[in-house]
Amino acid sequence: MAAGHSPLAQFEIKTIYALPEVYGIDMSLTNTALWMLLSILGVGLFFALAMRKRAVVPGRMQSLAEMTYEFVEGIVDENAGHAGRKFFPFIFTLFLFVLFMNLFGMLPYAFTPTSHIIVTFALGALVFLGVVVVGLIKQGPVGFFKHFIPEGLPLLLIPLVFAIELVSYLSRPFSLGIRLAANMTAGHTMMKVIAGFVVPLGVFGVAPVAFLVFMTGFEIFVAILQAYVFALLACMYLGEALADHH
Amino acid sequence: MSKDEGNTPPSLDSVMRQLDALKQSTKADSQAPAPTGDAARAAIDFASATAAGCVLGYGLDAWVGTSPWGLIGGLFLGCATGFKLMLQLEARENRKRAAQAKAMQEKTTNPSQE
Repeated sequence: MAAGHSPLAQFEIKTIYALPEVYGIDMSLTNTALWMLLSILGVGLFFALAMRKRAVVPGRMQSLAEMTYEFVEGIVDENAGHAGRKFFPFIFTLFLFVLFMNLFGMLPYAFTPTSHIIVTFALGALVFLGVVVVGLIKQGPVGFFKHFIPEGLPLLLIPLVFAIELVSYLSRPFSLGIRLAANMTAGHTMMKVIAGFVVPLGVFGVAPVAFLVFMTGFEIFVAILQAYVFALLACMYLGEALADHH
Repeated sequence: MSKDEGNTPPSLDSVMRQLDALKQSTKADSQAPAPTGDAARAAIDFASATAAGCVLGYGLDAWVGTSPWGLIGGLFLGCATGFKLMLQLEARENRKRAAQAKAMQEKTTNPSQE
């Protein structure tokens, strides 16, 4: 590999179409924004094509779409309960958005928006803020903050435990964001590093190529798994906020 | 559901309850844990707790103007929270493992139940 072709070069943000600033914010279309838009388009196209026939007995594409729907429905039902059904559209959208960003990132020459921590953190923060608002409405401010103080605690320890519980609650959007971004970045970097071994090794380059084939499959698995984990955690947090007990 | 075919459709809740009961009767034990690496999870938990503590402390600094003490305190608080999260994860995994071992033992002692 020539110098200057760092395995991390794939994560560089490039401006594709320059747009004027709006209130000091650069509104240019970058590769991140482009691939996010493409993934939204992909989701829409996938469901529009899959559900075009609206058959009672689904064909291949339609059953794929129905399986996706039922899969997310299962996540919501198991982790957020029946009260969480209202939030199914949100979770479904979130899951599909993350899934398509991850999967489109596996295409050659594509860019993976989810490899940028600011993208995943923004999604995580969105989920977190939503969950906090739902919790505050559902349980009331007193009931909501009661979760941070376990019962039967000595009076002296309450401030410390409250602080720790508060930080552990606040760490959720960070952990959501870090988990997704770290997984995507690690996988894509590793593939680039191994791809860099292929040409210098000459004939023995077959070994890294074989490994890359395996890695590609594994990365597609990780892409789906991480979208699942993101939706699952969002549902768990939501279920916690909706629960009436404590 | 054919019983409910009056002029009012059955409520979503009642339908969901019926569906749940059906699912419970058909599904045996598919309580599979989320297939994420425990070690990776602990690491991410720790990192994010530390980050959250730092952000909280930094925010406090910016608000009250106690720089740098809020950041320092937040860092320590975040680390403490990270350890707490790791311990919780460990305890949860241990409980899960113990329950699995118990289930396995019961299966081996009276296999007639299969």
